[in-house]
Amino acid sequence: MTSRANQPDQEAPRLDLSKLRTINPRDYALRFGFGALISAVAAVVVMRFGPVAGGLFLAFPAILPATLTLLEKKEGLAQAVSDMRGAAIGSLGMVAFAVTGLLLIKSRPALALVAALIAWILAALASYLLLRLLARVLGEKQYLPEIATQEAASVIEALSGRGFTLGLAESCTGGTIAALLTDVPGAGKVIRGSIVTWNDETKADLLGLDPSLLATHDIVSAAVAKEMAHRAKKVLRADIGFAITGVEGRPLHGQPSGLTFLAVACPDERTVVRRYHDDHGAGRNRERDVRTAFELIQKSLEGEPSR
Amino acid sequence: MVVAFAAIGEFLRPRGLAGIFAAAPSVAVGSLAITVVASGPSSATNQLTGMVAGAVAFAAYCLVGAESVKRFGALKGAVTAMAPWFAVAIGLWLVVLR
Repeated sequence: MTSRANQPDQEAPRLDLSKLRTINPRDYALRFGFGALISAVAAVVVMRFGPVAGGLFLAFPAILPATLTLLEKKEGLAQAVSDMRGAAIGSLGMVAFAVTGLLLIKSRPALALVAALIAWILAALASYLLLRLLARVLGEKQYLPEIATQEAASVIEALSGRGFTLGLAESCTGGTIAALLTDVPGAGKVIRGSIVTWNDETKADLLGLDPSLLATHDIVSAAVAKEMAHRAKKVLRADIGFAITGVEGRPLHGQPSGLTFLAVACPDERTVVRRYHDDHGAGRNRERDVRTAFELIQKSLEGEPSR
Repeated sequence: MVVAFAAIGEFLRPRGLAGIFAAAPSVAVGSLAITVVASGPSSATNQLTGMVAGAVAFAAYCLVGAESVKRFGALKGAVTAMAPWFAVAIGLWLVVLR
């Protein structure tokens, strides 16, 4: 299994025209509505508290909550967080806009807003490029997908609520699922442990997978995922065993990047398996893997009697 | 302006770069243009003075927001981060601008 660090902001700048297909006029109407609402609020504040107080609302984050919510829904939380970080850089441009406008509006009112817009884009782009360069020089990398703590907490709560413990065997996610779950307060009571096996040898040595199974099946297959889940349950003495095996980054032994199998060995000996093969790039694949793992673990608890 | 900047932000990659357009002064451009035409440059000067403080508050909003969105999800995180915007904006207005 191969993997790359998730570095969403180190890709080259480009226009993604495939997004044309996903345009929804309602999304834009929503943002226009928020913009109009804040203009009205600013007008009311001007009348009540004067133009300086009203001016505060010209830099109010009116549209961002709607933008980020739509982005999270369409492309995931990591992209929403990146957008917010970009907005933080852009806020320097907003300061430049206000200062430039302030300096020019009395002497050249017709040109002031155009000059202010130019100052905004130049300051924002310069800050973005400088920070990007710094990140590259300092070798900044983002290793974990950005999943809201609440999502991992819901798995811990579901396990605690039913009195079950969980053991994990991770291959392509390299321990990411366990890292996020164990970040939740109280995880120690329900997470028994996690075994990260990055190749055939460790799958046999640490998990005790039968070498003949590995010889007769692809390392990324339903049979291997199932057996990993059962072995995680047994080796870690947990009520539930979870396992994931997949191909991330580049094809492996003829299997395409993105092919992934997840399995849950339930307390009643049922095994739930899920497979997908779509490839979104290493970083987003991993985010999807983690989310699907959380969902599958919770789903497998449905119908299980509490302990 | 709001729709134009939102559309640019939609197509631009990576998201960090697109985020710059999420902080575009789209509401400000329209409002200030109307103010200049309706009330003259003097009123716009006062609004721009307030906007400098608002922009500083916006930076605080984004810095807190990047963490709160990560922790609570997009909508809850973005709304939670409005608290520092109000604190910084009203604080600067009361202490410096009033």
